[in-house]
Amino acid sequence: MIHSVTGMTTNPDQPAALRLAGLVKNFGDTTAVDHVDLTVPAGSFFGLVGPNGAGKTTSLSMAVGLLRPDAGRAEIFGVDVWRDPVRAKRQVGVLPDGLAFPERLTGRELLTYLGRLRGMPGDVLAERVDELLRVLDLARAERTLVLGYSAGMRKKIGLAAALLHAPRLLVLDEPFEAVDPVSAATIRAILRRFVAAGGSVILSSHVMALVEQVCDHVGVMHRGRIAAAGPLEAVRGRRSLEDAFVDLVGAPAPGGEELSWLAS
Amino acid sequence: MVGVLIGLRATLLRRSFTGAQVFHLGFGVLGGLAGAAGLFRFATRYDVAHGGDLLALALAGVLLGWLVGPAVVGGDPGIRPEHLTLLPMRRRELVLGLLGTALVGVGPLTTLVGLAALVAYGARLDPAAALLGVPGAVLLTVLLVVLARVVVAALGAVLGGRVSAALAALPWAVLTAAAAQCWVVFVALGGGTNPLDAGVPAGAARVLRLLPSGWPLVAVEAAGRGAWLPAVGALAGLAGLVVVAVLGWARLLDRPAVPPVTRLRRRPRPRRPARVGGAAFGAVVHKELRTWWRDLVRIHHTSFALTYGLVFVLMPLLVDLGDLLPLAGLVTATMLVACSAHLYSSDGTGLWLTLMVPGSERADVRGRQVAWLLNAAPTTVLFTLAGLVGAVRWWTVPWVTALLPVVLGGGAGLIVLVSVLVPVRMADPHRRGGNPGSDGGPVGGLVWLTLGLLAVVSAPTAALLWCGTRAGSATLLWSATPVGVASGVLLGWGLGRLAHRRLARRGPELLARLGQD
Repeated sequence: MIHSVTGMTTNPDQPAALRLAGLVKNFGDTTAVDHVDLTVPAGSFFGLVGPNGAGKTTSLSMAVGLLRPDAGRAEIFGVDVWRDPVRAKRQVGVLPDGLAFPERLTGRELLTYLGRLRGMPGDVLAERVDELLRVLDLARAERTLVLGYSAGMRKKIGLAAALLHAPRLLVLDEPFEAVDPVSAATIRAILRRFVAAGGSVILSSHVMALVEQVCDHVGVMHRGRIAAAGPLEAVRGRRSLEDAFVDLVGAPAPGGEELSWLAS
Repeated sequence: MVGVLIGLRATLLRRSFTGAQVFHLGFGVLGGLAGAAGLFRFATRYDVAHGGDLLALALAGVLLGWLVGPAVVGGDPGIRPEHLTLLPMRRRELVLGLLGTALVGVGPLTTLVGLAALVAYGARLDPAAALLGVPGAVLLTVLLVVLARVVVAALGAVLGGRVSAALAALPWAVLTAAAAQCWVVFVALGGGTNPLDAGVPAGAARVLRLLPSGWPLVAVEAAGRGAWLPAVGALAGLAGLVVVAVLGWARLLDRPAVPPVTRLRRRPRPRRPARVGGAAFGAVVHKELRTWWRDLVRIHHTSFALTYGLVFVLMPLLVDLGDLLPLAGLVTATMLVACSAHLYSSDGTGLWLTLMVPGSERADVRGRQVAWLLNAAPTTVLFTLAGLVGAVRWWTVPWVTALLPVVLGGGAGLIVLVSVLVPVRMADPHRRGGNPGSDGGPVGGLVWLTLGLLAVVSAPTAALLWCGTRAGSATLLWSATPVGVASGVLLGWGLGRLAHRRLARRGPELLARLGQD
C-alpha cells in the first residue's frame, strides 16, 4: 500500500483532470458560486474544503454536468462538460452527497443495472461487481434494498457506483461523512491506489486532518469564491491546514461571554 | 403552543405560494371552489325538498373525497407529528396543535366555503335554520379534516409490507368506484339514473342523511320545521363525533409508523448480464419491473386501479346490467395511467444516475414505458377477455379492441411525457416511509391532468366509434380498431420520443426541480 502521495508529481503535458473557469450560479438573489476558477491537475489528489454553504456541492455539481451553470465553463480532461457531455461524462465517476438511488434494488442489482446502462460487457461487469461489494464490505447485505442501507453503506455503494466503469477522474462530495473508521480506512486505501495508478480525485470535506493526510492539492472555498488553491504545502505554509483555513475564512472562535446561559 | 404551531403552518403555507407549487395550490383552490359552487347550486336552485336531497348527496361526496383523497393521491402533510417528537409537550397539546395546523390550508378553507351552502339552504327554510347552518358547517369541516388525518395515520400504522400496501388500497377503491356508480344504487332503489332530474330515491335520501356528512343538513332541516330537539341533537352528535375522531387520531399518533420492509425474503438470483448491445434498455426494464414489484406506493396505486376497475364494472350487475363488464380492462388501464404520471417525481433525485451515464436518456424513457406496459397490459387484456366472455355482450367488442390499444399506448406515452414535463415535489424515496397518505406528494392535479390528456388523445378513435354506432355502420365501427392500434403505437412512440429528447436537453433542470426541498 502506498502511504503517502504528497510529493507525487503531476503531468504538466496532460490537460487538467478538471478545469473550472468563471463558473457562476445564482439561486434567486443569492450567488452560490461566484466566478470560480479551479484546476485539478491530472494525477492529483485534490481536497476542496470550505465552511457550510461555501458553494462546494454547487461547484462540483456544475463541474460534472448535474447542475447547469449560469456562466463559465467546466472541462474534464479538456472536454467541455456542457458542450460534449457524452465524451466528458465517460471519463468521470461521481459520488454526490445525499441524492437518491434506485432505492428498491439491492446493492448488487444497483451496480449491475448501472454497468448494463453503461454497456459494459457481462463478464467484466459481474467480476467487478463481486469485487467491489467484497472490498467495500457490502456483500453481507445481499438481501437488503438500498432503501434500508445506513448512511455509511449508502456512501460505500455510491463509491462503488462511481468506480464501476473505471473512470479517470473521481468527483466525490463528502465521501467520508457518516462512514465508520474501518470503512474510511478502506476507502482511503482504494483512493490512494487509484491515484497511484494514474487516476485523479477531487473530494470535498469538512475534516481538515483527513484532507491533510490524503490530499496533495487543496482548494479553500468561501462564500462562493476560491480563497486559495494549489499544492498542499503552498496553501498551508508552515501552519496546519486548519489554522490556514481559519485565517483564510476568518471564522471567529466563540468568546467567553457568548452563550453564558448554557448550563447555568 | 397551539398558536405557535398554527402560526408556523400559516408561514409555511404563505411560502408555498411560489414557483411550481402555485400550480398545485391553484389547482386545489379552483377545484375546491368549483365544488363549492356546485353545493350552492343544489342548495339554492332546485325546489326545497329536491335540493335538500341533492345537498345530502353532494355532502356525502365531500365526505368521500376527504376520506379517499389522502389515501390515494396524497397531499401536503404540512407539519408532521414526527417533527415535534423532541418537544416537551403533553399529548393533549400535541394533538390540539396538530389539529390546528391541519385546519390551516386550502382544503379546509374551500370546504368551509362550500359547506356555507348549508346556511344558504337554511335561509330558504327559516332564519333560525340558517343560523344553525353555521355551526353545522364548521363542525363538519373540522370532522372531515380530522377524519382525513385518521386515515393517513392509520395507513402509516398498517403499511409496511407489500401485501398490506395492496390491501390498504381496497376500501378506497371500492368506495370511489361505488361513488362513481352511485346511479346503480338509485336504480336499484327505484329511482332514475340521473338524480339531478329524477330526484334522489327516498330510501337513498334517508341513508345519505344518516351518514355523518348529512347530520348538519338534518339539523338545518329540523330547525326549519321548528323541531329543535333533533336539530340540536344532530349538531351535538356531530360534535361528539369530532371528539371521538380526535381521540382516535391521538391514539394512532402514539403508534409509530411501520418502517417499510427493506429486506428481501430470499437472496435474488444473480442474473448473468446480457452481452449484447442495447443492454441499457434491458437494464432499465429490469430495474423498473423490480420497482413496480417492490415499491409500496406503486403497489398501492396498482391495487387501487385494479380494484376500481373491477368494482366499476361489477356494480351494475346489482341491477342486472352486464354491459359494462367488457370495459373492465379499459377502466383499469385508464386508472393505471392516471396513477403513473409521476414516475420521475417519485424516483426523486435518483435521476442523477441517469444523467451521469452519457446518452442513456432514451433507454431510460423507453425502458420505463415498456416496463409499465409489461405491468399494465397483461392484466387489462385479461380483464377485458374475462369481461367479454362473462358478459357475452358482443356489441362492445369493437369498442374495446379500438380503445384499449389507444389507452395503453397513449398512456405509455403520456406517463413519461407528463412525468418529465410536470415534476411534483415529493420527498426522496430514502427520506420517506411507505405511506402514500403522507409521502405521496400533491399528485391530485397530475391525476386529473393525465386523465384529461388521455381523453384528448383517445378522442379521434372514440369519435369514429360514436359515428359508427350512430350511423349503424359496421365498417365505420370496425375501422376504429386499426385507428386505435395505430394511434396507440404512434402515441407511445411519439410522446416517448418527446419525453427522452426533453430529458436529454433539460435533464439537469428536472433534477434541480426534483431536488428542491
